[in-house]
Amino acid sequence: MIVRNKLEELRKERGITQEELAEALEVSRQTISSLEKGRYNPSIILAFKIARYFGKSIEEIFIYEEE
Amino acid sequence: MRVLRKRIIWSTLVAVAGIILLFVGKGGENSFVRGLGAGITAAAIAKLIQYYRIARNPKLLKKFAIEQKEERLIALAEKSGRFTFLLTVVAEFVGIVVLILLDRTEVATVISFVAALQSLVYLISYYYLSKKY
Repeated sequence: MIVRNKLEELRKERGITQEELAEALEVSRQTISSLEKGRYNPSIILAFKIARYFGKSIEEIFIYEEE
Repeated sequence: MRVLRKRIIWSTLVAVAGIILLFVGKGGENSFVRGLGAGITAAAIAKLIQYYRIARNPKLLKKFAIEQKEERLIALAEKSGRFTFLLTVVAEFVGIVVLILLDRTEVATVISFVAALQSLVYLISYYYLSKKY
């Protein structure tokens, strides 16, 4: 299974840096970088935090794809 | 911050243990104990300096607080721990076989007990966690 996300796209739309997003979500900048590159899948709690921050649903940000 | 205070206390205890080893090794001719003591003390003091800097800098303190509950870092630590456990068990098994071949059965028995204890702790904690979650 693959989970893709639109995090980088949404972040750039908002015109914020990885550092600023990390601070808002209370995670490290490295975590934001890993999430954007698809190297790390967030927990459901972090996924909710991200969705709330961007005012979207989880499904609008994270796309689940079966291989 | 509670976690930082705990870490400072722990590092202080490790530093004290290192100093004790350093002095114990100094009396005899055991340079290994002396070296171990010096190494432990140096590492603990380096950690204490790091914690002191964090405690005095609000920005670093906030970063430290985030890192403590950072899920990615927790996941990395768990993965690393699993790998370390596996590697340790394999190394113990190889060590036991080599020691038996070298006719050092006493040491092999001690390592066998350690390996058995490790496996037992793993099984008990696995059973406990499977009931809890």
